[in-house]
Amino acid sequence: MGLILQADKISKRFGGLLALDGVELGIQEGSIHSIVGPNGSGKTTLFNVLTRFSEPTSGKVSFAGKNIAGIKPSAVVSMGMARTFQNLLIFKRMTVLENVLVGRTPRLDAKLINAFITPKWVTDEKKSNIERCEQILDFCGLLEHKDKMPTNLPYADQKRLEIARALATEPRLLLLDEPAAGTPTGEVGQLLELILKIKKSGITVMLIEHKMDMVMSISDRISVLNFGKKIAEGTPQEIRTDPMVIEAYLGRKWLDAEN
Amino acid sequence: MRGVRHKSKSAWLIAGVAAAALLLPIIARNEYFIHLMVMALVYGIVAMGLNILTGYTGKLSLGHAGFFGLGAYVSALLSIKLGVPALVSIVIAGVVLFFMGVLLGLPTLRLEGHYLSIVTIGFNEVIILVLINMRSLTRGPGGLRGIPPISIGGFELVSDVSQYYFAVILVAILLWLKSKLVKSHVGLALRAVMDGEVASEACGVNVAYYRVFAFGISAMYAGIGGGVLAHFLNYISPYSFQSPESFALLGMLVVGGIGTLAGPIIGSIIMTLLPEYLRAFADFRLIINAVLTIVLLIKVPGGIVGLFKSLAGRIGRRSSDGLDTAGR
Amino acid sequence: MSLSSLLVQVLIQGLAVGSVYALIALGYVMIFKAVGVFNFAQGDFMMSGCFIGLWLIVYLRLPIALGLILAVLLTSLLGILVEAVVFHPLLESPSRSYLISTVAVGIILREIGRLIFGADPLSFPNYLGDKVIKLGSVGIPVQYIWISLAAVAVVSLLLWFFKKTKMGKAMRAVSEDRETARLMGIDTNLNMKLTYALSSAMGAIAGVLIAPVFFAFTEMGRSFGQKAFSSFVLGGTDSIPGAVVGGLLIGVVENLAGVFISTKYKDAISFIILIVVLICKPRGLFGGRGERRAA
Repeated sequence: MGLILQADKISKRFGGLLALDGVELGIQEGSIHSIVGPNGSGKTTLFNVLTRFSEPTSGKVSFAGKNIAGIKPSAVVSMGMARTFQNLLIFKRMTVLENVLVGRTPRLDAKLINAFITPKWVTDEKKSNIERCEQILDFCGLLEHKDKMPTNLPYADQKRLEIARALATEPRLLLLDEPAAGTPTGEVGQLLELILKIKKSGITVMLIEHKMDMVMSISDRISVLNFGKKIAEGTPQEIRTDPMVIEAYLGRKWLDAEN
Repeated sequence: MRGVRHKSKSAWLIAGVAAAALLLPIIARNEYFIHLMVMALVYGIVAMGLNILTGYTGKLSLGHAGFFGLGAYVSALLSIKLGVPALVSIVIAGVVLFFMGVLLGLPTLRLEGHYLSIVTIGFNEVIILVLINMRSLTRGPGGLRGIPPISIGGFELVSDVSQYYFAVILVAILLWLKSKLVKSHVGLALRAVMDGEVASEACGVNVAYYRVFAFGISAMYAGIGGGVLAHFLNYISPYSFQSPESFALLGMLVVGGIGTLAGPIIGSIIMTLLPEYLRAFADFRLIINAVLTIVLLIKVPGGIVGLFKSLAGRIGRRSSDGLDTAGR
Repeated sequence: MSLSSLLVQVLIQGLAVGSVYALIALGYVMIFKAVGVFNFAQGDFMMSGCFIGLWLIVYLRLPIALGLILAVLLTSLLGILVEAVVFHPLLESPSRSYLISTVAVGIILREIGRLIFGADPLSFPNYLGDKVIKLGSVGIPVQYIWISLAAVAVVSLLLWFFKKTKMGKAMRAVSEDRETARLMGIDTNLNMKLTYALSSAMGAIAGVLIAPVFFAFTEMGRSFGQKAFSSFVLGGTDSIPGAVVGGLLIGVVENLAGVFISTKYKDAISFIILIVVLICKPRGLFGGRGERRAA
């Protein structure tokens, strides 16, 4: 399988600060590719640039062979790239099911005008759409909560809901920004299982995560960012032993943990 | 089970309101009162439109009277100058105003914040300037006279009662369309946009596109309301559509309940009838309106509909609690 | 009169009127930075200041200087009162509620003005003098010079206040981040009141400066408010220098257009500028390039 996403010399400047500095990236279709690096190394900025929420200062991003310069983030979602956010952006005033339904927007045949004109296919689509969303909720282990307000759920479930909503857009590539943040250690295993299930269903996953043991066990490939530069890339085994990575990021803590 | 009961309850409510609306002219044999109700319903149409914008996208228009007026003039001029039948020109006015709204919304609704509100104020002022200064077309400050009435199968709607029934039916149709919008996927997406712009965009919802559409529909309602007004009164003047009217429309929303289906109509009926019964305070009309709006915003943010809902909710909860214990 | 001397004259008038727009626009900036919302009553605070001055000087026969100072002080008090009664309870409501309430406050102020003073323009004591300085063929009314100088003085004072005084620094901190400032022990409630006092004072100063030239009328808040708003957006909505430059630009362009294009639509000019700015440069003249997008 080929590359689903390619980033070509991506740079992003905020005022005087270079948040990304000529990052090159190629994501293998069907893999789990993690981005790691210390806080402020530019991981989330990279996600923002890849998904078009942020305009790169220079460089090119291609998704499924197409240059995505200049298009809106929602159009990127329609092309098949979905994401979650580090600081959890769910719809707080909508039920769990409604949250996921919104994610279906790019996959519906009903257009704006079908708000008023509703032939049978529109109502049928609406029904099958709800069923589809219930399946997705089931897939993510949230079906029992479908009519609840998300703010009444534990934080880990809210994070999961955001994943479900992203899955509803039927992505080919899913970008997860710290999905395990706020998840009790005991439940990280479930989340891992979910991500592997997502991979198994044929969706490529990009992952930002601080929990290193999780990253090491799940990733096919890892890229390491430091001060906006990619300093290393390889399999978990290669990263674990890369001296530059150990020095820049993993540092003593990592070595201590290893011992 | 509860859903079914809820549904039948609201069906009863709709039937009751419809019966009351249809019987009103027979019960109240007061021509002037009926005329006021006609005005309230016409304003209600515009307020309903404003609600589609303010209630379902959170954005504010302070120039809906401008759309209202433009709709009135477009429809009136089509009928006077080109002889287009009133019903057709009202529909055309709605379509024209849809595109006017889209045009005005495009530059402003892609920005975060409330730029639309100021742009619509300016739009309102400019529309009034144009209506006053383009004398050859609009006859300027004197207004347009001799606008033909709506005619259905040769029957001309000139009496207050006939206009009343027409307005009731039109309001019912527009309410039904609005409820379809709210329940549709577009309505869901609009709620999402109001809840979070970035999250919506991440769900593949083109935020600007949905908002501009809602604004277009909102302006369309105002245009239809304007057209109906022109053909009901047979006379319009630029001064009926100045910016204090735009605020009055917002006041109707606040009183009736922003973001509710029936709120705008209830609000427009109250705000049209109230000043008539407070005629001793005619000079204070605008102040009363503004003070009432502020008091409701602070004390009853859900408006009258919200108030009833929470009352009904409280009663409903108490009775269902009773049922639950009985079941146990 | 030659074209160039006409041009100079229009320019000077534009700068004087523009500096009044700038003062009103400063009020918009302060409230926008503090609450994140437009205060649509800002123009009507200007009108209030103007009429309070008129009442003190003409009806109560106070000395002019005292009348002007009291007018500004009383308008500040009015700002504090309105904040406490109306805006404060709505601070945590959806922004549309806050916004609607600012419009309502504007209407209430305007209507009170109309009920007390009537709708007709009233002449304001011309304390600025009506001398005209002749410079060759150009005649410069001395009042325009006074207006511009006064505006420069007020803006300098304001900049000094925000940069150097403890109170000014605290206000800036609150407008940067209300929660953090509160945790640092700054009384955010008091600060909000001060912000409203200052912003309505700016309006009042603008009002008493321009009234000798344009009369006092109850609708002045609306027309001046709208133009000042365009200045505020043109200046990028969050900077004092931006608002000043925006105000001057709108004043000059509008007056030039009034002479060279059409007086009928002169009042529409600022609106057209506003739309163009929103389309091309939504962050104003001094902001970066259009990142203030929906997403």
